[in-house]
Amino acid sequence: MFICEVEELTVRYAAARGRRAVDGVSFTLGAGEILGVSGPSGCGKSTLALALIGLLPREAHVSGAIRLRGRDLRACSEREHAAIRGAHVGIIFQESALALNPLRTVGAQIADVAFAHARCDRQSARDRALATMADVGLGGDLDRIYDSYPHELSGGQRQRVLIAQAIVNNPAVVIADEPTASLDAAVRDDVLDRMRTLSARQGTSFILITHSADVLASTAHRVIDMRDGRIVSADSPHRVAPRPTAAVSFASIGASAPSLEISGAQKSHAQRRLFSTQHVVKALDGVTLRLERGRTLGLTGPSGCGKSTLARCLAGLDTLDAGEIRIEGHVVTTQRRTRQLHRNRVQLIFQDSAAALNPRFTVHEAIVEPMVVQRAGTTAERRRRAIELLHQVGLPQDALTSRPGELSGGERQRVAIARALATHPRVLILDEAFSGLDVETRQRIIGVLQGLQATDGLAYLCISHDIDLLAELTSEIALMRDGRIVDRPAEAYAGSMRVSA
Amino acid sequence: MTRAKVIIGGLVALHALILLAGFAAPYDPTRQTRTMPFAPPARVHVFDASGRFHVTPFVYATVSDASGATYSEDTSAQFPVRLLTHGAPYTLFPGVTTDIHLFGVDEPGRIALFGTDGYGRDVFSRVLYGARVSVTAGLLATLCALLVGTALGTLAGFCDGIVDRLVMRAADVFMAVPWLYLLFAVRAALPLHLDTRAAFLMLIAVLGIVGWARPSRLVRGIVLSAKERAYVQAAEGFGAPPLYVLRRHVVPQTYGVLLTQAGLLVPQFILAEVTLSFLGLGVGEPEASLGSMLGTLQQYHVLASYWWMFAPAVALVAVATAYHALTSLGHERARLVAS
Amino acid sequence: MRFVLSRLGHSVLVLLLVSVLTFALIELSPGEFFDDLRVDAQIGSTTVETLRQQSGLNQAPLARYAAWMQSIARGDFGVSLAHRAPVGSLLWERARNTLLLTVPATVVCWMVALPLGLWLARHRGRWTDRIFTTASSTLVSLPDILVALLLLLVALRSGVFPTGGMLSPGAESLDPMARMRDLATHAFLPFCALLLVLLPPVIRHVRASAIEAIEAPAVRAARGHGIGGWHLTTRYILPLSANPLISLAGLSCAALVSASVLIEVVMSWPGLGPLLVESLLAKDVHVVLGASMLATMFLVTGNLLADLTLYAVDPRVRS
Repeated sequence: MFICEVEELTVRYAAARGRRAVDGVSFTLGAGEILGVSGPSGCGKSTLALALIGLLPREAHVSGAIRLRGRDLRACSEREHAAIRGAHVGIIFQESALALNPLRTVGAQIADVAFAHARCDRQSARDRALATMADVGLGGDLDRIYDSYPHELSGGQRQRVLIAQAIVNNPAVVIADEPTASLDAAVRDDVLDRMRTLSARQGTSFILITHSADVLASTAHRVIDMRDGRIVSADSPHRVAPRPTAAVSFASIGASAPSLEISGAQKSHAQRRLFSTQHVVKALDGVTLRLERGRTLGLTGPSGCGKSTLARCLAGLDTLDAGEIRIEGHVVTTQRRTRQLHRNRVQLIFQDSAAALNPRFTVHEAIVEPMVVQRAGTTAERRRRAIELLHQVGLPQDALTSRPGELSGGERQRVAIARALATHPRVLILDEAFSGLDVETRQRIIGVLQGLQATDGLAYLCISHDIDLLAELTSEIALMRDGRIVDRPAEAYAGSMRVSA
Repeated sequence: MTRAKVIIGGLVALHALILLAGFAAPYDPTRQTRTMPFAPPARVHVFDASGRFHVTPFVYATVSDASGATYSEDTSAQFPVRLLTHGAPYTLFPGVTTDIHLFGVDEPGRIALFGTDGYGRDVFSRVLYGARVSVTAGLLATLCALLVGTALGTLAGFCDGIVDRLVMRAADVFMAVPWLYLLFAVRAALPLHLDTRAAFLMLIAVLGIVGWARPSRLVRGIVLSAKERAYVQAAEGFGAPPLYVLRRHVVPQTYGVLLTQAGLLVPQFILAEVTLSFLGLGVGEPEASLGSMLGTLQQYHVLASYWWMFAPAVALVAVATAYHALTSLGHERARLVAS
Repeated sequence: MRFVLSRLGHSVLVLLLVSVLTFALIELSPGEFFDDLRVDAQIGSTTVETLRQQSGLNQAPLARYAAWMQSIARGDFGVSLAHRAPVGSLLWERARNTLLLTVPATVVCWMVALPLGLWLARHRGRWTDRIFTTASSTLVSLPDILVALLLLLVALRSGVFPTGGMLSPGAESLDPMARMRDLATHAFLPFCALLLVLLPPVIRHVRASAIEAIEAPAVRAARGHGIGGWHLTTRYILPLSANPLISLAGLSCAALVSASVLIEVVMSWPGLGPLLVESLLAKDVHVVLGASMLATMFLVTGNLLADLTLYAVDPRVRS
């Protein structure tokens, strides 16, 4: 018998004029099975999760059947639902910073879940919470972590707390909504490992919602793809997204000067605290890198290692305390003219494309902004160039009149790239530019970038904590830690990652 | 019709009525009729004494009895209510004088919809004129406070460092005194008795001085966060000068907050003007002013016997309700956008 | 500790600057207390000058401010020119009467608004919520002058309540119980007026904060784990909605001396309100100064207490 059955589940919001967030979804879930649910953003994955657990807002109209161990969940009252949630169905929410009460210690929050269902007293709830904390790998001083507040923990620790909350009562089913997004590779691996262990040893079923192909490939037994609220391909054995062929060959290698070179870079941040001594944080401690013309260099490292500071200094948005930057052999000085030239030559693509574009600007205004500011060309010439740039990134001309809010994440990122190209850069620095994008969009953007590299000899410095993504783009990956480059290439680091079966 | 349209339509209609007070009011607000003090509101009839129905509503003349203590209707003559009548001349705009009023009755009939006050002046006209003073004062004062607040807030947020600290310290000081006390203190700094025009301008200046601090705080917050946005950094990366960034990226972010603040400040300032006039510190006789009209209610005999003297409250409540509805609409919209 | 000291220092600085501001404002004002006397032909100019010298009005502004600050340090708030009494004791007596109204009203207001606001938030969108929100919107639109006038009308018409003042004439000769009752009947209508003015905004804020807390991701997550009922309300919703409410409570402290000003004027309650208005009209400088400083002290103290409470309650502020 199946642990969970879903039949023709449909969720409609009255306000959205009948558009169905979830449209006739049906699937089954067996004991100990890990079911992956993937799809682009907006396909209805999260709505599905909320529907399964009965937490949809009042305005949502639900039809169809959800059965847990044969029991019809849709017929349950709110009180019955509350008894099921946390005890028979656990849920791991997406944003750990938001899903935890900032005013309560994490241990108390785990114990709350135990206390709400297990009819035990406070002390046993605490013991149970501590045991579960150990199970999820919150190592170290458990008592201290129990009494910590969410903001005092790292992202990885918080994510483990969310998992502990979900499994503390040994539920039959756990719904995990993007449980490993924004986690370091090592932490992510560990979390997935524990999931697999739980499913194998205790027969816990998982519904794993993610858009990461690698997570699905490594952990899910079965995957269903969703798009626009519907299942488009179900019950397929783990499907791995097609990998592109190796990085495209580049125009001319040889004796030309490297596009970008940085040597001996030093930079410190002073953190001002009220009434106390200044904390000096060394963000860059002697960084040396070379980026050849027409090539792609990957850069990865744990959070806080200085990647973003390096990106900003390379793009000319911040100045180094010591060290030298050369662009195509020319040394960059701090004079204003050369600084602007520097910034034009090395452009930075930000992580959050929505934040990188002014929501009130049209695409046209955003792309021509560099030209406007630098007073290059007439209005007609700028428009022509804007169309040309859109063409280069594969967007149609009528996108000119759209606003960022009307575009998808991938389209926005391409607009940001088009804007960056307006200044004829030699180097593009992509700082976590692919996070939050689904596989398809990523592939499309990578295609655009590789095309530009082939025709114009652009060089890319690609920064990401996702080493698999970097591996798709290039074989040269540098590892950064505590403000220093410690390893390149990164085969040694990659060894700790499991490879898809 | 959606709720938003009703609210905005209502607000616009209300403001039109008030700002065109000269047109909407049937009488000159300062015209006294000493023989008819505290006359009750004129009753508009459609059925006459013999029970006949008239299509055009009409009023009877109000006469007082021998002692002058009570009023009654003289049913001998009917005065139909006419639209777009000729009446006392007034200035519609500077330079444009006209004598057409929205409605009225022929002399010697009088249509005092809200009765008359102690000097026999038409309360309805006085309410409209008084509302015009109060609403205009409120709007202009809000504009003043928001301009000053935005300028200083942008300065503080953009320049940072010591400028920021100075401006914020000044804002702290102005916000540290409870609003009413600050109003009184600033009012005290100005001459007690002023002529009408001076009093009006003084009011606006006082309210502007009292009200700049909170908007400046909010604008500063927005400027600070806008500075950190990626698109501002990108623009700086293209070499955009600070003024360009301010003009194109930062200041437009403040529009939302400024609108909400306006929605909150306008009724508050209108009330402030009414308060000052009520205490005799604002616009005074013989000009019509909602506050001074309400002030007469402090006399017990007026309060007990002449209920129509509460009429200014109608105008006040109407305006305040309209603005509160606008503000909550704004909040709802903001919540929808955020979710 | 450091936090406490820094907030305290900030408060003192603000008080100082406010004193300068108020003093400057009074200085700017044209006209003096003795202007009326000057106009009177019967009073000689030398007499006026002597009176001015006695009151210290002939000194330079800076000297007067310095003298005033010095006397403040000694605890002497100057002398009221109109009442011929020390400002300190005058303010104290009037402030006591004001607090007699505002403290009970504020306490009752919060006692009613907290549970009511929470209940409304829980039932948001339902018809009970809609009725209450419409009612409170209407109440908010009524200026406090109007509320006071309406209640005064009730007093006049019903004859049950006195129409003004704090005690009936000759009340001092009554025994304590009767005097209390007399005070209570006089205070009842102003108390009601004040309550009607204070309640709507506080209920609105409590409701809004509670709604924000209920819709917060953390609360949804807690519900997702099956935490509900009393536990959810006390451990999750209330603490999360407390932050803006603590700031509001701090402002309530300031309202203790400012909310009832107009009500007192209309209903002839001998509190700070009528004193302030009289002194304003008479240009009785020291009283206006003293009253403003007192009001500022309440506001600054309220904010300080709110900041300290936030520090104690919110771990994010502590780090």
